[in-house]
Amino acid sequence: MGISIRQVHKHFGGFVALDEINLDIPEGELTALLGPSGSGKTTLLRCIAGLERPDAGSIHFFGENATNKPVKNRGVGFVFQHYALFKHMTIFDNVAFGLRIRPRATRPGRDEIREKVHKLLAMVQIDSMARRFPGELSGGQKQRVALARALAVEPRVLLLDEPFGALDAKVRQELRRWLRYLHDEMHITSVFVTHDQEEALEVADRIVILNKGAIEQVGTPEEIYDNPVNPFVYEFMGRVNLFHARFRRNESGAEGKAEMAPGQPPVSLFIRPHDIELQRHDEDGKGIAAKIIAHKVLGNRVRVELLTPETGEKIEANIDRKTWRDSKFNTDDSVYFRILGAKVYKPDATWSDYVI
Amino acid sequence: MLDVTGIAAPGAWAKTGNTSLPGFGLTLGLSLTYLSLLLVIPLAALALYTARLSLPEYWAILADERVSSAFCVSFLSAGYAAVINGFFGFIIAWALTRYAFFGRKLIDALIDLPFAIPTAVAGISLAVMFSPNGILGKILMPLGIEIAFSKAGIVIALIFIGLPFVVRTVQPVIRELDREVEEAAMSLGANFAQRFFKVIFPSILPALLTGVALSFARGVGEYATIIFISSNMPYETEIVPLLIVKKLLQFDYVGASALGSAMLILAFLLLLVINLLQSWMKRDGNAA
Amino acid sequence: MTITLIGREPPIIKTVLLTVMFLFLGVFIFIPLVTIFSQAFQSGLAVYRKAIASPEVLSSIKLTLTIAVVCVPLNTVFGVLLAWAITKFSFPGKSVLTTLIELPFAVSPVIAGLMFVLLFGAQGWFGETLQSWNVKIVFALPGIALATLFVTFPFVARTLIPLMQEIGKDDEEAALTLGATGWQTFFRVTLHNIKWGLLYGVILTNARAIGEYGAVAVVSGLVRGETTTLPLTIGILFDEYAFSAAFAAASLLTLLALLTLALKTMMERMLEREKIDR
Repeated sequence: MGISIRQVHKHFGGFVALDEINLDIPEGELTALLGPSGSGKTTLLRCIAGLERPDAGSIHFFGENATNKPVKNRGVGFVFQHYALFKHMTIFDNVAFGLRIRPRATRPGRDEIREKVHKLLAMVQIDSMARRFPGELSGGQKQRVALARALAVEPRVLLLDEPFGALDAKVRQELRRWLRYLHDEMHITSVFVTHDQEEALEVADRIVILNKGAIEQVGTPEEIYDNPVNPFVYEFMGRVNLFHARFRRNESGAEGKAEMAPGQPPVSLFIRPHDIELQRHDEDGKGIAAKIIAHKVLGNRVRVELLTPETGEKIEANIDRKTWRDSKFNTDDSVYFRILGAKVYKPDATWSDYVI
Repeated sequence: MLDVTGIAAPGAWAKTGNTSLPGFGLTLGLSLTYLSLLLVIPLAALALYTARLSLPEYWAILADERVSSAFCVSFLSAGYAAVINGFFGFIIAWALTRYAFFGRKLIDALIDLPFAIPTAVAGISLAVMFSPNGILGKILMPLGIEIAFSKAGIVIALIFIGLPFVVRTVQPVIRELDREVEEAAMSLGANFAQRFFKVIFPSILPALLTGVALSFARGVGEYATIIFISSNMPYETEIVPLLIVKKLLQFDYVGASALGSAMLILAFLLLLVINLLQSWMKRDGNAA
Repeated sequence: MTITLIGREPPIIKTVLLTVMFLFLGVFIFIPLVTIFSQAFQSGLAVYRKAIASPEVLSSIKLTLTIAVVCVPLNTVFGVLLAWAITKFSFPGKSVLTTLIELPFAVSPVIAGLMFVLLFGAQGWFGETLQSWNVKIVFALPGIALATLFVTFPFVARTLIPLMQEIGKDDEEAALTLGATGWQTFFRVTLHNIKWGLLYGVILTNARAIGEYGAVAVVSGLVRGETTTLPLTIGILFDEYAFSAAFAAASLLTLLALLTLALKTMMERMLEREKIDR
């Protein structure tokens, strides 16, 4: 196992940032800590780095207890959200920093340092800028330098705090893919923090969902997306339609998943917008009548807002552009919709955590 | 512009947290040792000396006519000077931030002259200027205005000393004035006077009051600038710091520490008022 | 930055305010400056030179510089330590500590001097002990240095604290994760980040250390040629109606003050520039 976190607890004043965290991060994998702001994801990352000291619990690196090890001896590479490049040093000097400050006994020779830094800069594709200063670089380039600098010390663990948070959308896309590629090359145990579920789904081998200082779910991107364990995760992983359990089995078409006996506490049905199918006519009698009250074309998809005249519920559907065009749907049309997939959660303990 | 007037930037104290950065014991330990030697032990000496007096004795010293008139002179002069500085300091800060004119940057830099020039140098210069033969004294004397060796001289000295406090406190707030708010007022049909008194001035007021309070606090304790321009006559133009020096020269340590501790308590109260004003500024989001 | 927007305020207001400003600053800034130099050179260059080269003035210059050389480095080092402790960590009593730093500014300099006389004067707490050891603090150089340290203490710390808070801790944390020790972090990273602010604080400390009068007057005892700093000598000369000599010496300090202002303005520009970079 790469990193084992046991019973880690951390509070700031009266605010509990991490509450009894238990987590195993496998060696060589790229793990995402995903959660809304204030969920404790950055605190957890900083605890792993040793930048924050947990109030209780332990953190093991590759079987060795690292809980009380100072940051500088942990062998972690840390990439900061705002890069934290030393602005009075050139790009070269920034990357060389970690090597040059070593005590003489373990410090590589001058040529060796030069060679290594240039190799890293070439790897992050900014070797031509070695003599520039951070102020002369774009955000994406700075983030590459920050990564090269962190890798220069050959860390056992690479930690990235919202690495793409401060970049604009296009650069973010590009760097995401590049980070994934880099990880596939190096297989260094990596953990990154993000609040963007798309980013986590795209980049990570494994996703850890945090909320209010506790872990909600751990799993591969597919597991998390397909089987969210509770309403919070479901809602966090994408847009959602929430139906209160007014549906009867035969009406909902949800294939028995909304089964309930009368008199039981109500349940809610969670349906993704793309799990809703629109039809002109109610062909098999399973459709629900609705009216299109608005639509918006978003690239090759169309976001459709529906209103059920019967119950007055607003429903969001997301259908592909071709279907929309072929069926000649338009706002103010009366249509029928079918639910292709839904999830039901019982109103148990996690229920109160649910925020729409 | 860096703050030089005592308004700390709205720092994020809460963010600091207990971190892994090294040097906590070293830096805090050495700092506390140094501060104790330099600030706390001397303060304790003053407190202990004052504690030799019983309360009635202490009160008797302060109620002495010469002492109370010195307090009157010190606080009244500082008060006049602070109010005058509030008025002119505001105008100067306004002009320096909102108007472009030749030599603006030079004047802006020179505003801090009272901070940079030794007080004794300023004192003798003002004394000569306003003496009967001085460049301004010559003009004012025939008009029957006597400044040197009078209470007015003390106020003049304190205006000089306190001016940068007001300008430097108000300036950043005028600079940060929300242009959109002003333009919104304009678009709603407010004329300049309405904009100024209903929109602009209220948002500058906390800073202005802070500056005035800082100028006042500085004026109450000022010594060197005043003693050269004032006649230093007991009951007339004698300020408290001078009286403390005189008591020390007569080896009246207890009397001196009684006056000193009273001044110290008043200074603390002023500091408290200034802190409250600053938190008011910060609440308005106007901190420098 | 100047905001100029046509039709913003009636032009007459600008004219009136600028006139008021020039008149006021004329009286309180320009005429005092002119007075110092005109008085200094009133009796000619030869007299000026003689006044400055007089043993009394020379020895007080020497004392003043000694005081500055002792006090500026001490307060710089401790100012940095204090700023580090306050901005990098949270601990109980921090707000009391930050208030305490302001104390020397809030207190009359005369009271600063008084406190050291109460400690080390003939009748002070340690007066007898010091006498038996034959150590002189008050009415001697150590007393002047202590009083100067007291009044100049806040400058470095209160310049650095807001600056270091604003810069944040990311750079230091980055250095640590790269394996730097505390000292390496400070000298290779922090010091570069705060250098202009630090210089700014040092310049102000130096100006005040050289120009202090009230606190020093109380502990000096005014032994001519021995415990009189340059400002004290200026005061003595002025009281003896040796105006030319007093102003000649004063002109030196005025030049230093103008230099201080120039450097200070420069530092402010550098700080402003770095702030934009951040």
